[in-house]
Amino acid sequence: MTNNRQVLLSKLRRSLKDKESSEKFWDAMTKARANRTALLQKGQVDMHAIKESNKVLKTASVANGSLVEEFAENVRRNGGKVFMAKTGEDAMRYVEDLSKRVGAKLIVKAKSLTSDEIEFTHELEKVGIRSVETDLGELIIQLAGETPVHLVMPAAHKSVQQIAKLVSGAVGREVPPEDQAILETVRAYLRQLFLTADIGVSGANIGVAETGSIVIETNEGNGRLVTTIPKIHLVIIGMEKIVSKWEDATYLVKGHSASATGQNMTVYVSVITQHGPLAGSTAGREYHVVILDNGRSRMRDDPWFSDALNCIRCGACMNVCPTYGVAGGHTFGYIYPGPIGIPWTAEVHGLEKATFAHLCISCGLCKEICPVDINIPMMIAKVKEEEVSENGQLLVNDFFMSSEGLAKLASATAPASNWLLRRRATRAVMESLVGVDKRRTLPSFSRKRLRARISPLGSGSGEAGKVVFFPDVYADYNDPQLGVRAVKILLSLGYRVEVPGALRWSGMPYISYGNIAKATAVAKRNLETLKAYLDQGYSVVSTEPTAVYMLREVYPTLAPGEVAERARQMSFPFFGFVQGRLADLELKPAYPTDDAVGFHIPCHERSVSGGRPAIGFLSAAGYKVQVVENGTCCGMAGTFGMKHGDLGYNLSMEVGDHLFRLFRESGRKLVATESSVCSMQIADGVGLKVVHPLHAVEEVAYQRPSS
Amino acid sequence: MQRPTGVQGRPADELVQNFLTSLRDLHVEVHVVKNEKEMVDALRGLVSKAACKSVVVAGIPPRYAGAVRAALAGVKVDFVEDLQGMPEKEAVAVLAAADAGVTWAVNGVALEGAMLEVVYDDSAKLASSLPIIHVALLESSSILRDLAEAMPIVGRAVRDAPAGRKPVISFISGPSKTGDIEMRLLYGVHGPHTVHAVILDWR
Repeated sequence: MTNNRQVLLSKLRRSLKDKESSEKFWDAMTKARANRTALLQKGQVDMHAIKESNKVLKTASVANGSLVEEFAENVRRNGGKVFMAKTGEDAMRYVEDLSKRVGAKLIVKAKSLTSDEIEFTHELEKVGIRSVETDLGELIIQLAGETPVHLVMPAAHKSVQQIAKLVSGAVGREVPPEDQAILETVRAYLRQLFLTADIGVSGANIGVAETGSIVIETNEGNGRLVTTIPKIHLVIIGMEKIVSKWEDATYLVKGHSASATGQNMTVYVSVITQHGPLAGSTAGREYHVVILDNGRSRMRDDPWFSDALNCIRCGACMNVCPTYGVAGGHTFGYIYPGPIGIPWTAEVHGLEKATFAHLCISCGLCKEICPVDINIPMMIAKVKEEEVSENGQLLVNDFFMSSEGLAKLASATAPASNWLLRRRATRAVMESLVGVDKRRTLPSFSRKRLRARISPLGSGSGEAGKVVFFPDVYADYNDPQLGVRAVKILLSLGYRVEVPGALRWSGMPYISYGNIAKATAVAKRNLETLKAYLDQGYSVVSTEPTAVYMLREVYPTLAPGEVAERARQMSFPFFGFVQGRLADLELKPAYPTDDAVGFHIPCHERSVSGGRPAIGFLSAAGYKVQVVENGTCCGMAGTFGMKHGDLGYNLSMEVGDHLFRLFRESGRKLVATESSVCSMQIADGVGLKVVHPLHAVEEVAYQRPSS
Repeated sequence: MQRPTGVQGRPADELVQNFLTSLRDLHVEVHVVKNEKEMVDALRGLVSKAACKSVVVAGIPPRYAGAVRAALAGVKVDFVEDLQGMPEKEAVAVLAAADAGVTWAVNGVALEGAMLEVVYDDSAKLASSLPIIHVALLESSSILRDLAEAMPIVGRAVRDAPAGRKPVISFISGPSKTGDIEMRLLYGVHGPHTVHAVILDWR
């Protein structure tokens, strides 16, 4: 195994062992999600509009190379100096030269992730210039000698005791571990530095080309002092932050604050175009803007990674990422942490620093929450692919990428295969040879597959429409009866139903384990199969959330074109497809109870339907339904939770544990979820009966009409 | 710009109410005053309640400057406009020593609860940044609906100013705050701990 992978594993092991920090960090992420949700529930922020508008705006701005020049020209027009830094070293050389020229001894810094990217403070320390972080979180991190654990909450993993100790060290006297005492100490300590610093350094959330202005969003107000009192204001801005016009900034500001902290706006949104006079004096007051490339123009020209430049650094993808929430940003990150940190690290700091990509379990929630709709999962899959092509694939990943073939084999040899898979000896061998964790309950296989089971039913009348049923692996090889139930409902509602023999699995593990070539091949094959049906007006319906997710979110990127686009538009989750027809079905509960059914929303269902149609289905059958959730993933993530060890079962169960606790506290006895793999996770974790909503109702009767 | 207005061109009550609600949600203390006397009383009241000994004032339009001066009689008052020409360090020292800063907001933004500050000298920005108490004065007729309505105004202000004399513009929506200690909300980490909005509701 490569050294980088070993480092990752040992860091992960430490994170999994340090329950206290992990718990604290998870709670912080939970709270961050809750803040965002609370704002959205007020109904004042139209996140959908923000996403759409930001995506179009940012993509166009990033692609428009002339904006950087326009911005620079306007900065110069107002008396500012501009330096285009090709690399981080170039930028730091400029800062050092400037510092030496003006004899700067002290620099105060507002929070700037771009400056963190080029290790600003560290580099200046090397040449004997003191640079102090003034954002409280960044200051804590600087005093601790660490990197930020989160983009927005850099010190979210630190306890008040740890913070008090760090601050005590800085001021040279004991500060009690109390919020107010720390706050007052920091205020007094930094105030002196603000008043005496030679240079103030800020980043910029947005650059506006038409006037050469920057927009800085802060809550603490340190940014206002840093940009005002020192004689020199130095801005470090990534070239991707520049947009064309003022009107463009509105949704960026809204999307940033809503996603970052659940605020309508940060407390201070400042617009700066030059270093203004102070008390009428402009003597020695200089304004410098360093526009940083550092790999960005290469990213812009790379069709795989240009999307990363759309990032507005809100940190929402971190708040929702299940494995980041457990592992923390020091394990799940380099300098840029979290999901979006993966492509950024690979592109800016090098592939070898981005090994933490393997902590991503492909739940897709980062894309769903992103206020710029960045396709983070796809970029992560690409980074994984690059890492794997450099360092080789794990055997267990290869094994699970062969799931379809293995399922075919196990199904053809059932029930012998099932008997074998239940034997502890077999599982021990599978664990040691292949890396499938023996603690994981695996599904059994059915010899008689879906097509054989539904062929006596006929294809149906088609008076209501035509449907291709996409079973994926589970409803074909493991639980074909689930497919039968779905098909019977579709037939009884008057649909014509086909399960094309040429249809393959959806291929999710290829994305999870970074084999884009194979993922693309399976996507093309399936789209080719579906094309003939789409041409005839068929819809594509699946009981497996991941299959619909692949069709809607992944295939259009893998095999872009008119067919993929039509398939995207015509693919539906089963319950979403039938939700308008529930009154035509006589749904009876298979487990009559007065108790509510606990409902789990699978990650891949969140972007598709949010689980609402399945809840409607259960309600129509007379169930009371209680959604039990924490806003993120159950941790199973397809086959990830079946893999042996820390980078598999252990991490999966650690993520799952937070959800298991909620299920236990809920007191629910029966759980329903649409995803086959989420079922396994919750059943293993909580020991409750978990059923697909279709199995929660009695099978709908359907007789083939006699001709 | 079209904006909902009530009788006689005054802002719609709903708009003002939304602004007040947003500000209160954001931990801003709100004072709606109906005439100059009420304004003087409100200002005097909050300065004396906080036992302020020195106050800095910035950007108040001439039509209200007299009333502000009257309200602050008895405490040390510095108008930043009078600090012009003073060595920078000394001016900053005056601002840093003040117990409160009284400043002008050109617009209110109802939905986001923000107050728009436009300054052409950084000393005015420091009046709302350095003291522990910030008092912003604004007219109810200046209240805009939301950020989308405010942003073009910002753009215009920047565009229209001559090169090299561009304003610094800040939206301020509450006291300086941080969540960096175990995500607990704490006020006054660098800037004001308390923000008052005095809304002049008679023009």
